[in-house]
Amino acid sequence: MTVQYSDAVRDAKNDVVETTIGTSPKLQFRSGAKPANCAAADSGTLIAELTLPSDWMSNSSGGVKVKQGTWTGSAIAAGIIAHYRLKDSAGTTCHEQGSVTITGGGGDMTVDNDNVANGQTVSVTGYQKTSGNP
Amino acid sequence: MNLTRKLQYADAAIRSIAEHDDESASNVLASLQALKKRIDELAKAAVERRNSKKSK
Repeated sequence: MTVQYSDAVRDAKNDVVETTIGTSPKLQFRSGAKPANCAAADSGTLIAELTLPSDWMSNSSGGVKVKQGTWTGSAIAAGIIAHYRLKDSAGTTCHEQGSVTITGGGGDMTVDNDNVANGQTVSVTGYQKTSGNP
Repeated sequence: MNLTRKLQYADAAIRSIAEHDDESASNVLASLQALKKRIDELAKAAVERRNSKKSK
């Protein structure tokens, strides 16, 4: 059975992620496999922590929501970025996590370079949410 | 997500509370009044936050 939604519902599903996480969330890049779920403790080495813009995603449109503004920060440790955790503005509660690859690598989020040196700039090149409608 | 879109969702949520006809009128009114109080608190905090940024 395939459930289908209007664009208004698809957009609302996408947009509620942004309002629930809140403004200026913290995006952490970490090495190794991601934890079992968002409630689980952090894993791997924290390689970079970015503070995202206050309004960090566009209005969802046609069931697709893309990142807004520049998502860039400096690495605080050397390592290979393998997953991200998106936390509230205090950096305490994880609300989302996923895989990270270089641009074109098929990760849930892509960066310009996943093998970074301490102090190197890390930039997010791709991140979007699609509320599917088969 | 811009302010206009957020207002649209907030309006839809508030309307949904107001039209909760399976709840007693007193429950609905109490919910809406609590919301009004919360909005006043948040508005005050938003102004104070801006004022404190200006004074820095």
